[in-house]
Amino acid sequence: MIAVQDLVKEYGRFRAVDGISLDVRPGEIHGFLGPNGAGKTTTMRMIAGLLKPTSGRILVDNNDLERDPEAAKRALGFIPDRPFIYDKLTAGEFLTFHAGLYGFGNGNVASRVHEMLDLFELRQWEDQLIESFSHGMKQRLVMSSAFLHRPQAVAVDEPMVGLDPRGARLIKDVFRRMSERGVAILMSTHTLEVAQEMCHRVSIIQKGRIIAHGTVDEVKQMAGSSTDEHLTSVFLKLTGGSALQEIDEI
Amino acid sequence: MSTQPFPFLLLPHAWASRNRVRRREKGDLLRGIVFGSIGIVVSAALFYGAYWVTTQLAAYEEFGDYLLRLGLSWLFLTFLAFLAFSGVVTSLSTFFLSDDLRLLMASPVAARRFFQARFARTVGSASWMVVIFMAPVLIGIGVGRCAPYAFYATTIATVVPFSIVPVALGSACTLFVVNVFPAKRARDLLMLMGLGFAVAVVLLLRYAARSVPRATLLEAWPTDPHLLDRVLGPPRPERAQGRAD
Repeated sequence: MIAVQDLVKEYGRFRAVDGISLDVRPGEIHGFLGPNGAGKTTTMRMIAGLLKPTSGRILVDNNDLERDPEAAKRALGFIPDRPFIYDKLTAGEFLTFHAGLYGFGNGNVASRVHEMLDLFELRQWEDQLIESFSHGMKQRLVMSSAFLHRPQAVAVDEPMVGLDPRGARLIKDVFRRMSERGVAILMSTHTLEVAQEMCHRVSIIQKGRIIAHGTVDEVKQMAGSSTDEHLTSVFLKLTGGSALQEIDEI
Repeated sequence: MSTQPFPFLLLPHAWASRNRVRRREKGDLLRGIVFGSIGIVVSAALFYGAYWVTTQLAAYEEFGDYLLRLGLSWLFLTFLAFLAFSGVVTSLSTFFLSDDLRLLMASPVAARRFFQARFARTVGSASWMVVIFMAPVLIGIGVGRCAPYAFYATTIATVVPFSIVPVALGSACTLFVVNVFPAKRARDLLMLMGLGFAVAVVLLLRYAARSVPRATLLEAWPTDPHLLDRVLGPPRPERAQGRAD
């Protein structure tokens, strides 16, 4: 559903993303893990069409992002790490505008907006200005906008940041439910517990390259760890941060 | 799924303005009254000033007409420069530095519609002040000259393209510069261009002073004539000599 082929992004002489290939299947939750500065957000922004790759190809629902950006973007829901929301709009207005951006007809907008507000427990705030929302509520609103147009695939950058346990649980449930309905979810995260708990497969990126790829157990085997070992220690082994973990343990 | 026309992309700003009006906070009403009153007083003063000058100049037959045309030329020339520069700065903000760009660029909006919406926003932001300032002045002149309805129709037909074309040129300039330099560096570059623009205006005025008598220029200058006197520099020796003779 999301296919990334030999993706490269260069800033002058610096190569932020160095030949990444990924494939997120329908109904799969794919974890995209890596240390800070590894190239996760750059890759996510290229998939969302916010950055132009230096080379490589991105397909969303078999639509080439470069050749047919509108079709590819219509099939994708994108949740950035620092989302923008119009603070002076109400939650209902924001979702209505979002629906219009994705070409929803006027007839079924209101019912779909209500459906999403109910799903993300925001219905009672429908007519409140977004500026009065907490960070968690804004995060949930952004997520509801990403799922509003019934995308085939969703790319989400750091979904759990700033959410309270209840909000985090809600998001996990929604992601699972969407995945059961066949939506492909590519999730970039630092929260390895979430990745271990939710992802069918993970890709670990470092210095712009994928260094490990597969199910969580396959990645653990790749790192020479037992399947009981926590993903955090596997991640640190693979990304060269094991010395830091030892310091932590002392 | 239908594609919305480009004005749809301007809706959040319209809704936000409506929400601001609907949900008044403490002190908003007072602020509205104070600034609204100032606006009305300024507009009335502009209207009356333009009306008074026009009726006074009407007493001087051909010379009065000439001075009125000269005054209007200065007005349009000044605003032309203002609009072009405002277009440069505003388009930098609306096309490249605006907060909602990531939201819109990630959605399936055709590049053409995106450009149209951003350009409409640039024109609105860059030219509303000029239009609001010019309207009472031009109406004052029309009333002072007892102009027919055709004058007002011509005024509208002139002011609309007048407020769009310089902004379009300014925007084109910004788009060109940003395509050559990164947006953040372009901001510094545009500041330098602003300085260059001011120098160009001074040079233009000095050039004008060679063909138009200095006294006429000073007379037609809409504000403090000492400022223009300083900009033009000391009179050229042969003219100073001529005046002494």
